[in-house]
Amino acid sequence: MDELKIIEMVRQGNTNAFSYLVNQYQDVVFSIALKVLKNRDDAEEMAQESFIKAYRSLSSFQGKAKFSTWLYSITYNTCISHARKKKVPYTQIDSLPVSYEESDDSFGDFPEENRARYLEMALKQLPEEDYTLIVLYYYEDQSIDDICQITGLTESNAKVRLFRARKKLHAAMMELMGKEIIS
Amino acid sequence: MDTTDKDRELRKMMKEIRLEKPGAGFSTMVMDAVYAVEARRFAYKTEPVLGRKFWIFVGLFAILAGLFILASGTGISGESEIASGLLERFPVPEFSTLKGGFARFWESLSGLPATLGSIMIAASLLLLADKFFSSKQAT
Repeated sequence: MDELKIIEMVRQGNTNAFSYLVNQYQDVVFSIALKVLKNRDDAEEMAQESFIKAYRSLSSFQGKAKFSTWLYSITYNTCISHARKKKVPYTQIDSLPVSYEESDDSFGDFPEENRARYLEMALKQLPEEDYTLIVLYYYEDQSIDDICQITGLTESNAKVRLFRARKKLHAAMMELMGKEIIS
Repeated sequence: MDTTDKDRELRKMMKEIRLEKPGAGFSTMVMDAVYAVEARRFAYKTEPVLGRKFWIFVGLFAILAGLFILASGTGISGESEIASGLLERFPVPEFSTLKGGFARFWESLSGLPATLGSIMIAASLLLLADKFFSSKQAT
């Protein structure tokens, strides 16, 4: 079903229709919250809070951006505010140094039967900002513009961070594979 | 292999993974909270700004004020006469201090019709504000 139609239904008073949006986006919202807050209970609480905030301000959603971009932006900001309040150690995206280095980081080298498992494990090792960028760009197919809206990064900064995050992910996967081969 | 190919490769791999999932009852929990928000919003919309008790109070006050004016028998023409008329009608203790205090109290009410008028205007304004805010909330 068309997402904009569902949003319109919710606006018209069909509260039940909102459950479609919750089911559709709960995994990404929760996984971002969990990465930032590092605690399942807090992550569930803030994921819920993000959905409620989205529901409350659905009338202000104009449809210029994708609903997912808008929702992830709410999630990201809600979780960062909560992390700051609770003093959860969080590395702000803007505070990281940036650099371009070319090297071979092809993901095709990993054996197909294990690569999803390596990837899941490697993602868990990534810092929260790298994880968020990777999930948004590669899993959720958000554009660089969308990512800039969600995270507040500039376009060039988002590109550089994404490049670095991908390299870190590749390195983590290589390390995991190397460890497994040795053992 | 250029960045675009690497992106494509990683995007393909990412589709194979499973993200962390919230607990089984998460969506129910969220929807319960959403229904609670909606219920509060509905209650807020239907609840008038000024409650029933307020209007009962205003009504009683208006009736009492009307009775008071009628009982004074002089209407709004003689403000000080209201006070003196009442002093005659009500049994006042003979203690001079108490009598003096009572007289001063009724004297201070010499501007009663003007006060009543102000109260009526204020009540009308409140009624208007109530209607205005109620209609605004309903939209």
